Amino acid sequence: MIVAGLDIGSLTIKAVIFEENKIKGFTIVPTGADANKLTKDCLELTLKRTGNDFKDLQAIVATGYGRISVPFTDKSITEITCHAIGANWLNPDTRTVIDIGGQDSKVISVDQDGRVVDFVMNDKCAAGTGRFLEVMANALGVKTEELGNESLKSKKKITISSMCTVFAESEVISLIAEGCAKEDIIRGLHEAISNRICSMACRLRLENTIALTGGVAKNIGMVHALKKRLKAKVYVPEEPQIVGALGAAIAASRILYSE
Amino acid sequence: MLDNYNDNFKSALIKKIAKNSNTYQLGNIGSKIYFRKSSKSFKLWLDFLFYQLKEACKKRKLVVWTNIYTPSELLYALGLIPIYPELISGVLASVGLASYFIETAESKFYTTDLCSFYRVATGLVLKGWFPEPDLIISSSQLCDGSTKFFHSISKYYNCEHYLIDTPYYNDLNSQKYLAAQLKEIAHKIDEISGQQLNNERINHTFNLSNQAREYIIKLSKFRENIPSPLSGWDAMAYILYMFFSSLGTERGLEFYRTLYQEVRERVDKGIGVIKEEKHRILWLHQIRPYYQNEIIQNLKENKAVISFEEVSYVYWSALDPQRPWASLAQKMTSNFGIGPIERRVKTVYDLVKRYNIDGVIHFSQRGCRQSCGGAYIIKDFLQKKGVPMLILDGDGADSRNYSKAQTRTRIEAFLEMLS
Amino acid sequence: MIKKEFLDYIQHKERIFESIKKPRMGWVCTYTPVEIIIAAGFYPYRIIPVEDPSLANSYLDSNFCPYVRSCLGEALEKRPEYADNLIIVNSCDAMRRLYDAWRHYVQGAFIYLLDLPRDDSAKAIKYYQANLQLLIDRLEEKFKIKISEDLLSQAILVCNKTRKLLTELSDLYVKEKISLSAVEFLQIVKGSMIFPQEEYNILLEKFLKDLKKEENILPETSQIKNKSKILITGTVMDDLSMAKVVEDYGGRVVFVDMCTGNRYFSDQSKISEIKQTNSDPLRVLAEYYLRKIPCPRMMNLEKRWEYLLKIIKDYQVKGVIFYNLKFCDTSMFELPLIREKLQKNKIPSLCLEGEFASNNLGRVKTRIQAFLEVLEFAR
Repeated sequence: MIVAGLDIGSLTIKAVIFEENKIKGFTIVPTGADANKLTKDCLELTLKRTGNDFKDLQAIVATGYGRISVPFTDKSITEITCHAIGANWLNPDTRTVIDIGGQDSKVISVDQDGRVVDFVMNDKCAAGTGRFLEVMANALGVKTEELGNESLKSKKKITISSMCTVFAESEVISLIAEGCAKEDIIRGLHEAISNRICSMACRLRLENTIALTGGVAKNIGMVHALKKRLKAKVYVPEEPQIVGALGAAIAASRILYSE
Repeated sequence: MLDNYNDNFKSALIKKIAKNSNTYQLGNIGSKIYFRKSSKSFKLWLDFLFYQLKEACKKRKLVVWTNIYTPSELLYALGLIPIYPELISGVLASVGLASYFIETAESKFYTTDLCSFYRVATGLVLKGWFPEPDLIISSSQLCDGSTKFFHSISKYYNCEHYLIDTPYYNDLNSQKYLAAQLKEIAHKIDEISGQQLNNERINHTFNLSNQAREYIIKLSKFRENIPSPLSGWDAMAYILYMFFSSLGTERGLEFYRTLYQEVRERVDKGIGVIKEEKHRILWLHQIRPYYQNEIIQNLKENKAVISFEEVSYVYWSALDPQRPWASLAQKMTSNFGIGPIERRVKTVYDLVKRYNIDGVIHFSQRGCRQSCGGAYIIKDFLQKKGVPMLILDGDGADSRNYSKAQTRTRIEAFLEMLS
Repeated sequence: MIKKEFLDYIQHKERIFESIKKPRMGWVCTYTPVEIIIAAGFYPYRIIPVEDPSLANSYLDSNFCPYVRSCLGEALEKRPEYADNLIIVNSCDAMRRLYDAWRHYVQGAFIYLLDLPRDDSAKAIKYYQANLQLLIDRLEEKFKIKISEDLLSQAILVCNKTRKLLTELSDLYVKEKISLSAVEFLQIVKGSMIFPQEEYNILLEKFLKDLKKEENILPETSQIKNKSKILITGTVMDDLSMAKVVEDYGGRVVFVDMCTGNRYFSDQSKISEIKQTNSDPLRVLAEYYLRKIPCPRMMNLEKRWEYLLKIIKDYQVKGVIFYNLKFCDTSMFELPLIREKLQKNKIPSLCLEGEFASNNLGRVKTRIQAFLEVLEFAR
């Protein structure tokens, strides 16, 4: 039984092919103006890699903010439910999922079966999201992928107080002007976000193990900052970005079973 | 139902409001614009809205601007014509006119951090589109925004502002303080209007209010039914308008009698708001978003229905014409939104049980402190009782704060969690 | 006593907490009758946090008064120090929600909410007096004490003395007879809220005496006269260094109409007058608190405006800076009206927002400097 999960996020599109309780292949591509076409391309590319054909797919589930507009799926499920399912499959000990995505960050309480018990999400602004980090990386002239390693070099603590993207950007610029080291600023940004995420997380009953998912979990500096602040057992999947798509794929196979 | 207003009505309303600063005209045409599909109760509401605006323009009686938690019975017994800027702001938001007024207010240093309903209302004042007040009577419940908004417009119109300072505790001393204020206001208005407030008028008004109250209680009983016969979405629109502004009038009574019959018919026939009712939702906070939005569709697609909302709960006992001031004071202090949060928590939990609620949504209006400040405590309590609750951030009147995709994700994820 | 020593001493509340063995009673709003706390044998201290309120964000939304969030945040962080006794006044929506959140998430032995009317009518005074009696009843019942009229009268005298000394200091400061910066002045005012009153009076009196010595009185210079005199009006000042910014750019802060500034102690004359009539001390307190310079929360715009105008005239104020904490509904509604009145009187004004966050100063600096440049040009 072959199924697919698609996660159409605000920054990237992820596709996962899942067969007999195994990940067969996955692809991550950046989002563009024509999300439908890109999603289709992304799925076809993955199928090519796994040596399958579109016809082989017995069910497709879409998640992410673009989940509703993709025409060729069987069902759409929100990324909250999908991240819970995906994280639970990867590590059954997971009781909390922190997903820092492009435009939303969320903290999800999960039971032993991967069911969502409760969740909280950021308010409408971009503070504490992938987008926020992207803007800051831009202001600093650093690639987003490099933020993590850069921040590890930091020796001095800098506090960034603004969380509004616009204000934080100007704060970063004035810190550069004051001659602060890039790595210290980046660490400051990571700490600011992790504070924000943690105060959100504290609205739920935080339980071990905490899984970090979403693109931002690839940022080692961010993971460090979160670990320090959470003081909890933290699990980072090998491919944190595809947890949502994986959850969608698992949900797709469950649809088949229930039928 | 307000969301399904027909476009002709909307454009006519906009045109007329824009052309005539004299709302008398609006009153004349408004009552003639009905849409064929709408229910009788909806028409009665529209009639009432325009009738009041028209009366206010005629200026034959004193026009008083007031807020929703000032007991309307007091105003009608005193022979005043009330205008409700808060409710009218909601109506304007529902026909897509709010942003115009919001921008006007913001240009005069009323910041975006303020409650959007008061920004719309401030814009209305600055543009001078509605009948000016002869005086302002407002109560300090439930929020600071209301208290200061009415104080500040009284400065703008240079008219008297009688604030009914509502005490925090619901004890005897507090009720006395409140009753003394109500009595004093009544005497002052008697002096201004030259009329004498008599027992007959109090009797009449209180009786009308009590009769309407009986219907509201019966309606609330109907709403325990599965499937839900009345959508909370409507209850928080035109029905809410009547709930706050019409008690103590003939028209108010007629409205509720009609609505009662309409809902009764649905109950008898077993007609629900949606075909297959999977999740029964309780909506918290006095308001919902009034501008064009997809929330109710999102709920419907996922087989969820707003079975009840806290704002419709009848928290007061029947009014006693024999002791009018104490009785009105009691109505005010009985409000579970005043005082320690436990009062609200208890009411909410009672409603959860009574209406067989599967999940609670607290609509956190940006710019509201009084309601949102207690949301986490309510959530903690409900969680211990095994009732899931979603805190949904949003804005009731300012559509610029509405994000379609974000809102949808939150609602859907919540409903997936309930499944 | 030397200035530096005095300022250093009153600024370390941890040290004060350690040295004072009396039970503490916290307060958050200047409508709290500290006289009653003193009469009950407690050491009253105002909670004025400096911390980032991030812990509180789990319980109160980010669109909530930053002062209230910081109070809760600090209490959550330093639980044992705070979790004893607290009186909150029902002064605004944020405060009553703080009362709820505190009881649920911080907890403590005695947490009381005092209801506060919104004007100074006879009815309101009577009601407030009854509320004060309720507070006393609760204190007596909870701590098995007796708060006599005598104790109250004594406490009133103590607080009157603090207010009198602060007024004296403020006069010397405004006339620039002493070397005292705006920040130092505000630190002393703040100290009076976190220090036990009786001890503080002794320190402040000594300090004032020293200041008034002839060798410490500054000669009048023309330089002072040329500075643009600034009135700061608003709610709570989170970061005192903003007053320094005004002075750095050539302005002179003459009056701080905030509850952490002059508003806290000015207008003390009235309570002394009432005291002489020898009436019921609770009545005296109720009248004093409801009739003092109103916070935007009270429903008396005219009174507030009249007194602001009087200060502007008396102190030859050239510009007004509004400094409100974000999300304060009452001051947000009052600001446009006061601003309009200032405009009619041709007084320029600047609106700033406070957030209880460090590093906010960069943005504030540019605005203040530009504002002072405008005032300079206008001369």
